Amino acid sequence: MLVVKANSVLLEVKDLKKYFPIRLGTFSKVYLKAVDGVSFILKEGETLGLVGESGCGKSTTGRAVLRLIEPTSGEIIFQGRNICQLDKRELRFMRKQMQMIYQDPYASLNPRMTVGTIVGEPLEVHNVAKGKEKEEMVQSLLEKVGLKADHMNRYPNEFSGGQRQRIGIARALALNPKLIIADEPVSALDVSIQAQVLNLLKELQSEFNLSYLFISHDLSVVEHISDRIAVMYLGKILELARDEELYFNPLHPYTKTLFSTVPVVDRAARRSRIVIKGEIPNLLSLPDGCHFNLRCSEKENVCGVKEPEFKEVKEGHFVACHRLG
Amino acid sequence: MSFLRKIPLKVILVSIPIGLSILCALFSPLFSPHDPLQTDLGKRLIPPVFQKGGSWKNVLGTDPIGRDILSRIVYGSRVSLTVGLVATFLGSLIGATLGLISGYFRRKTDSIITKVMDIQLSFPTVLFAIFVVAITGPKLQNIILVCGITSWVTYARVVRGQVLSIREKEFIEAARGIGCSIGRILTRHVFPNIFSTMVVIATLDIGRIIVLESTLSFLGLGVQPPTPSWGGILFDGKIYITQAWWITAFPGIVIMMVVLGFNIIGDYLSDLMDPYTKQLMEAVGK
Amino acid sequence: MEDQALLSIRNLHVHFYTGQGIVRAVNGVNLSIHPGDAVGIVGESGCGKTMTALSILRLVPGPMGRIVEGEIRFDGKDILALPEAAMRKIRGNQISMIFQDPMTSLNPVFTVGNQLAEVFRLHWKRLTKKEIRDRCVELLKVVEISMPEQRIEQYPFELSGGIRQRVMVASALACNPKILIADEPTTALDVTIQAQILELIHKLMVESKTAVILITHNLGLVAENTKRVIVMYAGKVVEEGPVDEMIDHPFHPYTQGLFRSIPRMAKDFSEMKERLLEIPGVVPSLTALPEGCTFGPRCSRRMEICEQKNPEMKEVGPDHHVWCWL
Repeated sequence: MLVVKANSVLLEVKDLKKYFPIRLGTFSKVYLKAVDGVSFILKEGETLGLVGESGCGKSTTGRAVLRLIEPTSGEIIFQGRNICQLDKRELRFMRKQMQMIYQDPYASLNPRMTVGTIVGEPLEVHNVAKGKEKEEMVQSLLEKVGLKADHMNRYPNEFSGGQRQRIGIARALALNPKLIIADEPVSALDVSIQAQVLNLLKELQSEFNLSYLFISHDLSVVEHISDRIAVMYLGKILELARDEELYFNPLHPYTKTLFSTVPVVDRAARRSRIVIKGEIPNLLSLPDGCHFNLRCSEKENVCGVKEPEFKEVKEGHFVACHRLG
Repeated sequence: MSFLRKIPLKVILVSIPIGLSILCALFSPLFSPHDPLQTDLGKRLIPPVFQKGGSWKNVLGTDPIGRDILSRIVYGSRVSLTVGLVATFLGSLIGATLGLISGYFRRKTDSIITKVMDIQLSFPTVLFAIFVVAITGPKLQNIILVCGITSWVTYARVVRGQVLSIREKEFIEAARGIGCSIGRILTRHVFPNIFSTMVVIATLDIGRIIVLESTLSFLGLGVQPPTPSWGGILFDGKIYITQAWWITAFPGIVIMMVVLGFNIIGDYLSDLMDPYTKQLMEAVGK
Repeated sequence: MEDQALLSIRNLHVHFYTGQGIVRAVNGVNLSIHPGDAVGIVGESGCGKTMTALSILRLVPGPMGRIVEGEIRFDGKDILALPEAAMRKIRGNQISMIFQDPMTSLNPVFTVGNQLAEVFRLHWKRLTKKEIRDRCVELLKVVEISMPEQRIEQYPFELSGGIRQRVMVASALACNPKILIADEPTTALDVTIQAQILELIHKLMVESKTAVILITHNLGLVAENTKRVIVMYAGKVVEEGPVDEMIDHPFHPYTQGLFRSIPRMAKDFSEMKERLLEIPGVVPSLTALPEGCTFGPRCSRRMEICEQKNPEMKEVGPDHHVWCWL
């Protein structure tokens, strides 16, 4: 089942940074470094999981890739073109290839529009189809995500969370994108509905050869659905590896801590708990050196001074840690 | 039709005078027993039918130059309601547009618009209206214009507040994600979600504008005689208040009922909009 | 066993009267808690777990919500018959509750110290101001908040979610309650902070022999932090038993479905990648519950009797009960 696909690179993100300026007084300004130098590759048909706790920058990264938020610096190369350099018109055209699924099924659909209008809007905005043709496409999209064609004329508030998320997925698929960024798509759903949506995403991926950037704080979900996983903390990627490799061989102390603190049902699968002290630091007062050093149980002197490099320490396995240089 | 049963009694009750006023305004000749402009000095200051000296010919009495009060009230509804509705429309149009722009684009545009709002608010409304009308002249257009101008701020502030919260919602971001232009986002995504609030404000505001217009007329700055308007009748009857109380009382009562009616309907609509109070109403109803 | 129970709930029914009909939030729940118990109540949203907890403290939001039937006995007293003043003496004092969202459970206009002190002012009236302050500082130390003397003067907005939740734990345990109800205490927190909070609750529980009712939808949390588990669905208890027994041998099709629909960290990695089991359909609307077994319509093993009669309780293992016709 695990076939190594020699697929082409769909998305390459190089040293992406997003700093938010915060005005402290009339003359002083500090920068909130939400994303501080993130680099990764996403291949065609692949799922890259982006996992981390609050403030790690995963959502900002996702939005920056779509240029829903303008990156402060860095390159985002999609299908060979650096989208940071595209003008408005070209970007609009590019938008057809990359879409997003949002976290909150209750806020991501316009409550005053019918489901049919919501799912059909991308087609209308980009003049892909009109009238009867558009209607038929919308119906087929709804059926693809497990809803019925006659749901078109109903309003979002008549549907459950799981169904609304499906509507969001149908909307994202409307323009036949190659890349879908899923920002915590199942976090707001009940456990049994999560399964439905996750299975649906997998089916759609193989049917349409989609690539996913799957953002979540839930390590179990990310391990389940991703081919490769990047672990983020305070704006940086600390570790990036294939799913199984990360599962059995997490190298960064933070990753190890994450795995150990996730509550696990099966006794046999539980890892010895690594106690982690303290709170997640404020993005405005980051520590010197490695951002994780103040909470790290394996810290060394150099960690508080210099930031570690993000290096490949094994094939396909990248870490940013002084101890693994 | 079943939803009618859910509407509380008082709302239905107050809708009656409002409905009547609208009908009077639309079909004045049908409801008015006499020509409101016809003077008859032989019939000056006749009291209403239930008082000694009154008759069914002039149910609510006559004014100082013999014109029938009832007919004048019926025709007067035209002025009051026209000003009320058109000024409200104008005010809401200006207010909503500015509120939308201010709330969505923020930064400098927002600063400027909110400062203008603050400046406008610091003028006492009635004085402002008097000032403008006194300068430009008491014509119907000017009155409508000035009433509209006094009202835009309310809409703008509320719309701005709502837009500020809506623009953070994910469906707006989703609209950008699929490639919607700003214009489309504002018209098809933001506006439909603030529309219902605007309706509520408008309902409450109509009452205020009717009172404003009546005030202007009462001060002699409204539509000029002989055109009847409710405030105008009050103006005519001012000096006769001790001899002929009916001239001021009846239009006064009408203004009160109509304005109260709009306010009650507005309150009811706003309770409906708020999901918590709506639930409460339904629960208590059980 | 029954008369030794610290808290016992019998046949609890809670209804909400709304414009859309009667929402049957809780439909005949039975529960027993003994001193020092660690019990988990699991279920998805709408299953009635929070309402059951609120009923214990008579905090069901009225006038729409009402406890329409059932009996709740705490420490020998009939909770539903107590006058409000007596109930207030129990809340925060003998039975405490922690809620889900630490961002909104603290009053933003009062300092942390003030809010902690309130618990003492309400229940331990004979303490002086200084004594209360000292106890508050002690409490903050107990919940492992650094620099407690400074924290006491801080306002909630100055604190992170994890610290606020610790303050909630502190105020809940201030009076050494016999039972602590934790309703999704860590859902809004990050995983690393979650571990800290649960560790803390566990430690305090062991020290003061407080019984803990942990309400959550997270099966992993329940597996690691409780000894007994109660599974609820659409207002009813469908299965209950010792946690290890339930994990190894879930009996009710819903319980089985729940356990198999989550991505599981397992020793064998391929299990992680297996297709997740979907429970077909959706939770029925609480205003229109089906006849017979409420889970029936979604159950792959439903039989004729399931559509007609509500399942009765039966024992399928040591202290392991299920409500199912299978």
